[in-house]
Amino acid sequence: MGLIVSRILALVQSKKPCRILMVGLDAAGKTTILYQLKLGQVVSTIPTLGFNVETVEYKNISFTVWDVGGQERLRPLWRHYYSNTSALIYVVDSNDPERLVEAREELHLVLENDEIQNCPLLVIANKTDLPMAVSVEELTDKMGLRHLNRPWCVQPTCAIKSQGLYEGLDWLAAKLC
Amino acid sequence: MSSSSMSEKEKNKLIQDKCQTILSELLKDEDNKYCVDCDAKSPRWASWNLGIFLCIRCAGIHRNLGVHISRVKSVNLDSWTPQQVACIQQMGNSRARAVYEANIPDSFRRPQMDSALEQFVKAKYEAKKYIAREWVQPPMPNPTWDLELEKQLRKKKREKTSGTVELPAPVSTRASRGSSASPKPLPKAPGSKGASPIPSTKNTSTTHAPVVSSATQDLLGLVVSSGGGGVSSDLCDPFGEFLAAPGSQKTTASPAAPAAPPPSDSTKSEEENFFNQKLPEGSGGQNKMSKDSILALYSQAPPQPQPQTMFGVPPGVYMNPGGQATPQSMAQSMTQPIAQHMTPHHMGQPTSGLQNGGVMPHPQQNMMFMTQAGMGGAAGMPGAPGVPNPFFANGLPQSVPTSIQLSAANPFAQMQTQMANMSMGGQPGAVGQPQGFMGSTSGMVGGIGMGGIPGGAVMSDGMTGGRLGAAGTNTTLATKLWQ
Repeated sequence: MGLIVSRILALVQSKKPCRILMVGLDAAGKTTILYQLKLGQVVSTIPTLGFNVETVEYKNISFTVWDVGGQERLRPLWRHYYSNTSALIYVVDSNDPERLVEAREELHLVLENDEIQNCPLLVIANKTDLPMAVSVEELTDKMGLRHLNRPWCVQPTCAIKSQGLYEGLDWLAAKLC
Repeated sequence: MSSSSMSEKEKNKLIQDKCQTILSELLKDEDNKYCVDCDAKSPRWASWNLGIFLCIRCAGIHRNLGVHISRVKSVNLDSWTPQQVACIQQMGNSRARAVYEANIPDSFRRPQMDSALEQFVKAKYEAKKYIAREWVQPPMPNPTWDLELEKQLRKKKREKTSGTVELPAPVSTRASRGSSASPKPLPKAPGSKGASPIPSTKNTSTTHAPVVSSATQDLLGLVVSSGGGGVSSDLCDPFGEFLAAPGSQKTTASPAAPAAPPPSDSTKSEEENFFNQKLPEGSGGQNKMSKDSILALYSQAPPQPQPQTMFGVPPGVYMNPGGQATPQSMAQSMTQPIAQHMTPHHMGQPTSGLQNGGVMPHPQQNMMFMTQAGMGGAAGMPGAPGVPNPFFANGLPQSVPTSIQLSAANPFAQMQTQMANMSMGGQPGAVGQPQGFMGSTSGMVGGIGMGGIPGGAVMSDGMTGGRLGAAGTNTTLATKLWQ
């Protein structure tokens, strides 16, 4: 009986479901971010060849975050995850200025797609603790974000220290409510 | 306009193909058959700035170091620039060990546990704890073969437009390309394979003859040197005696190599001794080598004229056409347990499959992965050929077994298996809550990526792949979903 009541209660109080797609170049830190959000700890990861998906409950929203492998030949697969996506997280390794151009090109390819035309875009500038990390300003310029006509935000993070991640989710939550 | 973009594309494709060919040749080198950090078999990842080949697990650890220390790329899932490939040609796993593990304690055992391995990798590359003091980072190599490729392409175009039909000379152009690709042939173990001209199916017939003779030389070298093989006699493993042959073969300039003999044999042998002492797995490497060189004697699989790549060929079946395989060597291989073991494994394979025999992992181990990966690996594969695969044409990984190739080079197959996995979790669609995956978080350390990887993909890097044992059982459903 108690079980039934709690089930019903859970249904009533259920959080707003929200499907988030997290992409970015390989080794940007997507999987680390995903499991930092899910478990609150750093896990040792291997390069993602397929995808990982976890549900993260935060602020009355149940984020289902899809983390897709970023290797060059896996990127054409991203488009299979676009449908019904409410928001896009694009993770950038800010410690890798050499690949910012590549990151920008890939991002803009993604954004061209109709299925995610109006999705808010959260750009996570990860690995800000590392020595070669570029500033948020520089990253915003180099990623060509300023002319976008959709809600976007650049959030500096350090996923292994769990810095900045929830601020990013806050922004997403605000945009999705 | 369109023609210029077309030729640009064509050029890029050529460069990519060439890069892939060089990389797979490098991976056939004895040096590079094991992960530089943990000795896992058949590494498919690389850190190009360090110039080393890695297994997927160590690739994960290297990525944590940051790109200022290690720049990790997948051999098959990323595209490479000529310069990146040249960096690896310049270094390679053996050299890298000599450099980054120069001052490693004698009693050191390569860690296998995740956390210990991570510490080791950090100490090795971040803190540079064991680095050779005298080591100076060489300048970035600057290969020019891509320009040559471009030139050739242009030339070909011109010929086409002018209407003259000239037969291409694949052998000579390839040879010249091969040599220009690696200006400094490194002292690689069994002949500098990386620097040797890359054979293609086209020129098989022309290269048959030299191979046969070199195989014979190889045999001779083997027999002669086995007497005085004191180099690795200090190895205390059951194959010690047997291994003496390839061990010393390594130090003598390998006659099997069509390219120039290794320039600095003494350093090479030093290196070898050094590592033989240290590695617990060193014996495994030596076994491998002996298998290689012995079975190489029988090698005549049509598409791969290089002797070293042939050990997957069953001795009795693919004899040298010239009858070069002497009874001596025959007997040798028969008394060799591993060779025997391999024979039945390959017997059943069609000839075309043998092309990939070059770096066939130990059959036992291969089988082990299979079992570990369970249905995931096995069922993931049949799905692969039926799927339109834009990546398949893109430089197949020459050096992995066919089955693994399919899943590794074919993300669609992975997707399918993943989807199958998902649908088992509950809802048969791309949307919704894939409960199947929630479970994957629990056993996570070291295996995150596996949440989404079918057994087949995991196998390709020799990871423990049992986690999603049943992943692929639902492949047909998945195929429907994705088509």
